[in-house]
Amino acid sequence: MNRTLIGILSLLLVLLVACAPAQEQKAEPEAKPVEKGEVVFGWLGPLTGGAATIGVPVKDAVELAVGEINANNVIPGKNLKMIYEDDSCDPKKSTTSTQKFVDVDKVTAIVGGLCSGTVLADAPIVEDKKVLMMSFSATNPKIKDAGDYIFRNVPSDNGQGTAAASLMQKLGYKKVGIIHIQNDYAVGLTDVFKGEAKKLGLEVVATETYNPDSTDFKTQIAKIKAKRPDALYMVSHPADAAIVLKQISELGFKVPIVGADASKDDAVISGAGKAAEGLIVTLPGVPKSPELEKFASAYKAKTGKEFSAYTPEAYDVVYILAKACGATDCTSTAMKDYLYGMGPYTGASGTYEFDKDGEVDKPYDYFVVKDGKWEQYVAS
Amino acid sequence: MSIATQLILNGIIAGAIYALVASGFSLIYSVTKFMHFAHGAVLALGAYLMYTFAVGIGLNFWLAILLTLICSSFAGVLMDWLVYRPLRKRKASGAVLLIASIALMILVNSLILAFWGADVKTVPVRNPVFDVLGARVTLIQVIIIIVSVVLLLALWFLMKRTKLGKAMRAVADNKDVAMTVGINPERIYTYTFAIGSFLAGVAGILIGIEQNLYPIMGLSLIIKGFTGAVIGSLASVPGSVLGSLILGLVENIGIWWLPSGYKDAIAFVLLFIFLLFRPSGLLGVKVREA
Repeated sequence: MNRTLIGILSLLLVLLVACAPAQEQKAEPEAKPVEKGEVVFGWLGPLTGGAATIGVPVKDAVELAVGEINANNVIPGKNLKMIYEDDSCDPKKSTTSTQKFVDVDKVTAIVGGLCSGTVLADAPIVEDKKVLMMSFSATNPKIKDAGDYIFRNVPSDNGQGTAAASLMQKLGYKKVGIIHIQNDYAVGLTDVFKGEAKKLGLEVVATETYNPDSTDFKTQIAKIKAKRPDALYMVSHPADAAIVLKQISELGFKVPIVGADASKDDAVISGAGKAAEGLIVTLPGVPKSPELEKFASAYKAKTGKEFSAYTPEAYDVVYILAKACGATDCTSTAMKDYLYGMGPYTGASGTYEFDKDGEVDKPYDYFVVKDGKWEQYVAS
Repeated sequence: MSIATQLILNGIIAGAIYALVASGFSLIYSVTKFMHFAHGAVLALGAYLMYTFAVGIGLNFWLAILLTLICSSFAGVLMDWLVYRPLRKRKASGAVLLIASIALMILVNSLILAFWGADVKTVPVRNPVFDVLGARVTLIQVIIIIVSVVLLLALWFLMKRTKLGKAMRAVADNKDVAMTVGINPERIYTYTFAIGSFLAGVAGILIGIEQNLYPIMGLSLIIKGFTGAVIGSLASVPGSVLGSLILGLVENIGIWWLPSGYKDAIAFVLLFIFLLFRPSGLLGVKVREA
């Protein structure tokens, strides 16, 4: 008797719990104003691994842009939704995420990838499915020919390799050594650097490489040290750059170091400490402008931090894609055609326009680590 | 001359780091007979706990080390109690335990990422540099080499001379026979995980100071530690330490002549050679499958 009663009571309880939200759900659509359409973009970049310290702030900048775009109705009648995927800058992982973006999520455009290797690996997939992809930081020269649907708002490393080589020549170095991470980005950049160094009469006396996720570079450094270069060119991700610098100093190798864009990160200074002092890096230039200031203050309000490398570019990419979506019927192909004829765009990372390969032209800035902080460096 | 000494020293330092990882891993393998890959995650956890105690909370350095070692030991034991023991009760095969250990490793790595974030962390310590026969070595590197030798001796002593070590060997040889003489294998497993994870804590503290901290630091370390253990002998702690030293030396001396991008390739060619031609390792005893 008692058991039947408990049974009935619990059945009632279950019914009550099950019905309550159903009633609420019914009421909801009436309360809402006109239903907005939705456009879905995907974001691809490293939230783990050696380049995560670049990827995490970039994700914050993208979130900031998405929030502003939706609040200000930049895409008329549509709500922008961003899906985030972590690729660790690993082409194997990024192709999986890109497949998911195009097949499962059916995204209109992809913001990213952050690394050259992932963009080059994903390019055939997005080209095949005709999905727009715009990187804010991948700089390998080969991306120029990766396809019609591939854009980037950073300049190709043809410029960066040249900038680094001419800086080293200007500083009076004759013999240089190279240490770099073994990936598409670093191989592409050091190839340009070597070609330019040859033209400028710089002799490359040693080139040493290491695999991603390595932490021991002492033998590579010892090999370079034995060749007695005047200066060292380093192309590394932040996490490994910190250890490379630390081990260079531990091995008593006193050499001026010029690094590349991926090393312009606070993690390099916090990870290497005093060993980072004097490091000079090249970075695609972000000239001072009202747009940049507006971004910088909004970024600081959201995260409490100063903006870091490639966050203005990523912020711009979201805006450019939203603009293209709003100006067309918001299909990848229409947006692509729009971008090729868009003309100059002024955003947080400067004023630029896409050429026939989806590339932009920008100047380079130099930074140097001084008293544990990044400072603008003026090559005299 | 100084280059040769520097190379050998680099090899020994790398080998000692691998040995720190391999010793705990092979201790656990030798007793439980399955590959506890989450050992690498315990190591990373140790490094992050050390960071939290010493830098985050600002505790005394030695107190931070003590707390880290206790927590690491406990983390290993907890893994055994919560995951491996229930699986053993269901008579799960070695493959199931192996997959469980990989899942545990991914879980702990993700938890570290969630709690501490992806950015690189450092434990700042004074780390003077010494000149040794024209080569340069830091204090932490010297400590790493000394600790790996001390661990080797201590573990040898534990296994051969103490009652607990004898019980561990008995369980490793034959669990059922060990039970008949009154040894409780589950308790021995708990001790094994406690000691093995204590070693992971030691490795985490030292490697964290030497190479900075990042969430997946345990993954590449456990792969190299495992390779070292296979070369020496998975089931023997002295063997795994010896194998790790050989691995470190071969890698570092090898890339003096070969392009440095082949460093990992050298390690894995060595791994395959041993797996194919001497799977029991240098110090291992050939075991005939029944």
